[in-house]
Amino acid sequence: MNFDYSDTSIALQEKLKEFMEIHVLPIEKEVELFHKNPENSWKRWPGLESLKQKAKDAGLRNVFLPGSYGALSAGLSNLEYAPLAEIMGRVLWSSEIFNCNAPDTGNMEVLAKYGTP
Amino acid sequence: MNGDIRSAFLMTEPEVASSDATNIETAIVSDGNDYVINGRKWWASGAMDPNCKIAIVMGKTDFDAPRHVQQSMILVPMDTPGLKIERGLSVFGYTDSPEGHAEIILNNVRVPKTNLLLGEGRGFEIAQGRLGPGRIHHCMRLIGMAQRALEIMSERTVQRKPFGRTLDTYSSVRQDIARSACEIQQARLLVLSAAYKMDKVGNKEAKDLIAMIKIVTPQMALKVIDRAIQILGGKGVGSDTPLAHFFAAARVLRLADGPDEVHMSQLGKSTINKYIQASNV
Ligand SMILES: Cc1cc2nc3c(=O)[nH]c(=O)nc-3n(C[C@H](O)[C@H](O)[C@H](O)COP(=O)(O)OP(=O)(O)OC[C@H]3O[C@@H](n4cnc5c(N)ncnc54)[C@H](O)[C@@H]3O)c2cc1C
Repeated sequence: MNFDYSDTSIALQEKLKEFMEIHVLPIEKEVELFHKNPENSWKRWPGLESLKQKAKDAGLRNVFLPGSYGALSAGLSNLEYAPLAEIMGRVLWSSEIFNCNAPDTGNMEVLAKYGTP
Repeated sequence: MNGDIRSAFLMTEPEVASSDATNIETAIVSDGNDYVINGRKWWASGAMDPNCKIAIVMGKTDFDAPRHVQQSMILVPMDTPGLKIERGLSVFGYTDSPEGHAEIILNNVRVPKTNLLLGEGRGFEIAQGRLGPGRIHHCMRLIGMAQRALEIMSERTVQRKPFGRTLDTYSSVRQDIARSACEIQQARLLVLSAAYKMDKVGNKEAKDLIAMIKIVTPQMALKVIDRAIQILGGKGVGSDTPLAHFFAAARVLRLADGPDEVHMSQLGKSTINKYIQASNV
């Protein structure tokens, strides 16, 4: 067994950490407060879409899909993806920015595997 | 896949013990070119989100078939007539807005036959494939939470000074931090070994390791987050740090995707089988 992270994974980890530092941690509280306000129940935080676009531009979207899903995926193995999920786990609401949130990841896998696009 | 829409997974039902998926009683009945679905679901994560457009629903297409081929999975657009969101549920008071967790009624919900995934009776097969990678993701996120909790409590130890000296000089505090560091790294390596095995030989062969991480990681995270809360004192249970919400989120994962006991039952059985087979030869 060799758990050394590949160069691809290390490069993405660096990129993701930087993204979290610059774009996510400074607004972590603000987003929590938005969602805590009962007036905003079941509303999406307005800044999310632009954050998602930023993540896409940085090449940090859909990194969870294993390589076997072809063009849709970033081609990472589970071992390469694991440390990225760890970094996202540090902020509860962050994985959606990268399209890596439950339950959608599981559902998307099902659809990529059994669905017809 | 573009992340423009969101989805929900509707398996669990309020009326039956859903940790045993063979109990699921939502009916998916064939009618001409359609299926008609009736049942009640709850804990459908993500379903409250206004962007949630599609649900994967698990139900029975054949109540008389052998137990593991009664179930099927079918795609249901959230705006299909007859699908009604009854309410949003909360977890220790957290609604997890905007995704939320919904209770949903399916009343004569009609969808075309082509919405059925893979084929009638193959719901179990899909469910098993679905949950492997999802568990790695949940577990790694839990490790991220525990790691951050460790960092938060470590920082705090040098800032607080009860009874004349800072917390970092107390041996009980050092032990809490040392144990947390050990347990996080143990869980991390276990998850990485499960990920490695999934990559090398596939989800099915890795199932024992996947069960192990699902059992070990939420409990580890809860323990570490609990220590962090204790070291932070009142601040730990308030909303100025992420710890309280982490605790709620980690507690859920001893239930969601199957309660600990179900994974232990499967792992226990598989382990016993391995050794009785070995001793027979
Ligand atoms: C926040 C949250 C999000 C969720 N998201 C989803 C979702 O998106 N989609 C979805 O379909 N479901 C979801 N769930 C539901 C979750 O998967 C179920 O709650 C879980 O499977 C248990 O089913 P149950 O609640 O019916 O408990 P039951 O089946 O009634 O079980 C109750 C308890 O019985 C015990 N038990 C069960 N089996 C055994 C055994 N073999 N040995 C000993 N004890 C046993 C366990 O302690 C278990 O907790 C979510 C749950 C929560 C809390």
